[in-house]
Amino acid sequence: MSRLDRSRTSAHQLRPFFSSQNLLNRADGSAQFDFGGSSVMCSVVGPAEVKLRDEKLDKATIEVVVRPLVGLPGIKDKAREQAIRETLEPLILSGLHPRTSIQIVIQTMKDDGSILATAFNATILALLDAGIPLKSILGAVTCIVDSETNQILLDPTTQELANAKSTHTFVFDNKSSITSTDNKQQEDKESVDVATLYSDSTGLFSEEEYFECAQICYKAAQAIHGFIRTAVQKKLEKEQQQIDS
Amino acid sequence: MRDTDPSTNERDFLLAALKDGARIDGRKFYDFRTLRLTFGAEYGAVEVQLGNTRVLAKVSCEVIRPYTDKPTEGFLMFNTELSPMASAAFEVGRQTDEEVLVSRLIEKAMRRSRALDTEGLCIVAGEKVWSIRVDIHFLDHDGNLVDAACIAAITALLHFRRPDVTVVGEDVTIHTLEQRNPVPLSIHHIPICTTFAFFNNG
Repeated sequence: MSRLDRSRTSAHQLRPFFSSQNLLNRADGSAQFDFGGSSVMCSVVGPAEVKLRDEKLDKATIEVVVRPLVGLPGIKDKAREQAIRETLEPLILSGLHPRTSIQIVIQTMKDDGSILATAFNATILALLDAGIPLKSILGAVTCIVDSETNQILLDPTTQELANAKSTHTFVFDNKSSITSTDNKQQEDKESVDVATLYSDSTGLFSEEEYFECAQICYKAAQAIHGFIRTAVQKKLEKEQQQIDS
Repeated sequence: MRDTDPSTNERDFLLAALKDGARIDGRKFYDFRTLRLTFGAEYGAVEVQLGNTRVLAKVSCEVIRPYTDKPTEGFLMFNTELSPMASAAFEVGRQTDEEVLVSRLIEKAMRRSRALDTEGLCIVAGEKVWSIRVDIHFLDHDGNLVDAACIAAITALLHFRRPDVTVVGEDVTIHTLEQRNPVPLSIHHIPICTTFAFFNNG
């Protein structure tokens, strides 16, 4: 089948992703992550000085600011801020930096659907670039259930999102795994024993559809984990080369 | 987080170097940093890099009702909110003096100089006009935000294409991008800002 953006042939195919790190000079860590036509840049400053009213005695205060591409920040951006902050709070080892602040700023550079997932991935890359201690990394993917074909499409574009019956964003960490039974006939009854860090669904959908989406997104998230690992590896190799030369 | 002032050593070194005719990064007094423009896939999106200073500008348009006392004039709005991404010294919600300065200079350079023809944004007098919105995002602050923002804004406006409109009597059809090629904005001239800094009273 051919997807609306014509560059992909399968329903379960992600758009080509691309990332770059250490782009900004004033931030401690920065990264840009692209899912095809959607691009989000994230900057991390921390651990740094914290305002007295936000100070936490035993942890670092995590602040998230989301800036849209067009217009003034609205409630949608505030919702994204909350989503990202609450997902990252258990992930960042904030106990190692008490009474400091870790400020994360997210700027949408190009919008072609799946912005929240792109933002999550950019954030984790920026946190790694800044050297903030983390429990694990995360991988985020969006998928929709198309209203006409009832098919699950991974990583939708803005055009595909307009035809969606339900939209789901999943964020998985890289420490858990799906426990599968050895019997192949029971593949579709696999127990999904995954640690879902964040799940957001809108629209009309059934319980089966939800778990099927979770499965498909989990496999895609693993590809993103691998990509993040390679990206950081390449960056460190380049830095090592610069030091050696 | 407040920005720390440069140390006494840094300040003395800078002033002493300037007296000898040298700048910290090796430029001559009237040299600009390397300017790089990157255009996005969409019309009206441009990223400007002036040395390490990075600014992103995005133009968008919508059709709204004009003011009753100016029925043939369209709208041109600038949004230059400084985010903490550019520098940790900028806080959300709090407008620093620098932010106000940048905002006012951009408005003066673009709007008061009438670079963009707002009369040309009229579709149906008194009912429908185009409202052009330029969002300027500051990504990295390494000095001279005004110049970079000005270049970003005018380049984005030049790059932007608005949907084509046909008016037949009272009937207004706004063509989609598939139906008709979008139309550029009518820009009379290209305002460019140049910032000078004076040391030791000249």
